[in-house]
Amino acid sequence: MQRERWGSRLGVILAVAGSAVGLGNFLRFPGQAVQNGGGAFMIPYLVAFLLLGLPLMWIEWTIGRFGGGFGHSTAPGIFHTMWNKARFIKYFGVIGIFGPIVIFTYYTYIESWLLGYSVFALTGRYEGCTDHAAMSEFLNGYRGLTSNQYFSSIGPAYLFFVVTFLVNVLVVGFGIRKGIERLCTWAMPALLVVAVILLARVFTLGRPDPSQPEHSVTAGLGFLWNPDWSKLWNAEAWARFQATPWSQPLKWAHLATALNGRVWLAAAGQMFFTLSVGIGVILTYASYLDRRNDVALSGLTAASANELAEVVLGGSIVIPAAFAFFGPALTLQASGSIFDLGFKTMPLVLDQLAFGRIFGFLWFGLLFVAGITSSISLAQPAIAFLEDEFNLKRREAATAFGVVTFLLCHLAIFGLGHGVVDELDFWGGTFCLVLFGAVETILFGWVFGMDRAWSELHTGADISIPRFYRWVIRYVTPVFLLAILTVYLIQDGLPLLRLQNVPPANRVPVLMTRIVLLLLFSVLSLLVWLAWRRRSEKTEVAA
Amino acid sequence: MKVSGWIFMAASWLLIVGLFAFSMARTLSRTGARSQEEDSGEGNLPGS
Repeated sequence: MQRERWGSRLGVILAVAGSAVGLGNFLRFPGQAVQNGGGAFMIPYLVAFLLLGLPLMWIEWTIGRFGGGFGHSTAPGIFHTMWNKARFIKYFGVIGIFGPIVIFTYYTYIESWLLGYSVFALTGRYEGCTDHAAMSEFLNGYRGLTSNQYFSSIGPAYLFFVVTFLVNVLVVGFGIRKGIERLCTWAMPALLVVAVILLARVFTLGRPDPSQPEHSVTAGLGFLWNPDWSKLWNAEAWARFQATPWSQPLKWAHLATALNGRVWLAAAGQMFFTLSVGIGVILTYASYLDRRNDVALSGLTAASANELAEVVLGGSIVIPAAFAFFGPALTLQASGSIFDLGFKTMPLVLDQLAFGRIFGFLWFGLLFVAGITSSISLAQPAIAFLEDEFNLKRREAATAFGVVTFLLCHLAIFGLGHGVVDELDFWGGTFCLVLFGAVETILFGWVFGMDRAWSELHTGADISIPRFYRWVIRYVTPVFLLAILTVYLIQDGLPLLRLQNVPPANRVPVLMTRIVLLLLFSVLSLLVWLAWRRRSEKTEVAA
Repeated sequence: MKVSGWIFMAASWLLIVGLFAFSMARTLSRTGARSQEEDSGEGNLPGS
């Protein structure tokens, strides 16, 4: 079967940047930064960008292109190609299809809220909400969690979801070049232009209420950028480390606790989510490249475009605007969850600007477009797997994907109030990312071999990556990832499996969600097994 | 905002904007330099 190809090099970079730029930049990043101490968060965040984000970006571009050369676009085939002596490795690759499907099931629903809010902004539907409590009521009514004066049912939210879902499936169904590349080529620059307009407006807000000097844009910027080392370092644990003899193993435990793990974990997790690494999406996009195409510069371009959108634009719009209008206390209170900041605070902020309806429409419209470019990338691995391994045509594969995920999305829609979205986000959007990232880093640096990996990364490269990164990719990145996984297992593993942090009323829905996820993973593993059996049968017939 | 905050922000923005400007300029110049045939993706085979 003729493999699809990218129409231009800029097209693939914009598509990968489009995959990375999304809700993570403009909703999750400000929320994470506020929750983790602003200036304290930015230090590990930038460290994670240099030691985790960039290396993983290069690794995924390289192994994606490598696997594409053997006709594989998804992780099972790519991992098998890299380590064909290990029959089990392709089943680790299932994570690279499972994770994106799980994220897709709740991501598209949240994305549809953005479409709804952009329409509500234009029609002035939430203008009657003048404080944080009213905005919460509005959002809960919209999501069908309560019936109130704003919404009597989940109907409008469901309608916007169906429209969003259809847009996603139609864009993906058109194929790599026709669909994704066309959307990303105009959407990414448009998105950046609108964000710059909003940034300029926020920076000229100054101090809206002169009687409250701490309610200012510079106070918001100060919160985000004043370096705060105290929250990164636990002085008591460091003192215990120094006092403990080297012969005692406990010494190392004290050293581990001397670093504030929560902030470092949050920063690393944000880096995975924002760059779309550890998901399997970049592997698939890069697999459509020619072996002679550069991946070193392309990976750097996509990563830096994402960071520009996140740090320079995302970080400078929401937090400074929220500080200017509400001050530090209410901003911290509003960041109870990432959605609070985006859906409850920003409409109030935008309403207080001149041309608030237009700005509101642009803001939520911008986020919707950013979400679309990300969610279409999430659909790509599953569709490419069906195309590659079962010879389905793109539209057949897109239809199969659409039917399955449409049913799965209902878990998120109707289980939102019962912790189902948090459950999906943990397995699909957190745990799988770190696990998948760790597997591919070890495969790349240790199994594939660093000399071969470095050579593969530089094949057709338009830049030469500093040799310092050879050492980072081989040692620092895997150690960083394994440390994160260990902390996950120690701190959250058992309580999570025992549903200890789940309220009793939510235990049945959460347990059902886990069963559905287990079934999904089993079915995908079975499909991988079938695909390889088909391959071996074909090889025998040919022989 | 403290002086150290302005410095940290300026350094971070400089790093990110610098990386973006460098990589995008390099990408655009290389895209122009390469022929359409090379970018079309023909011949994606191992060792090709």
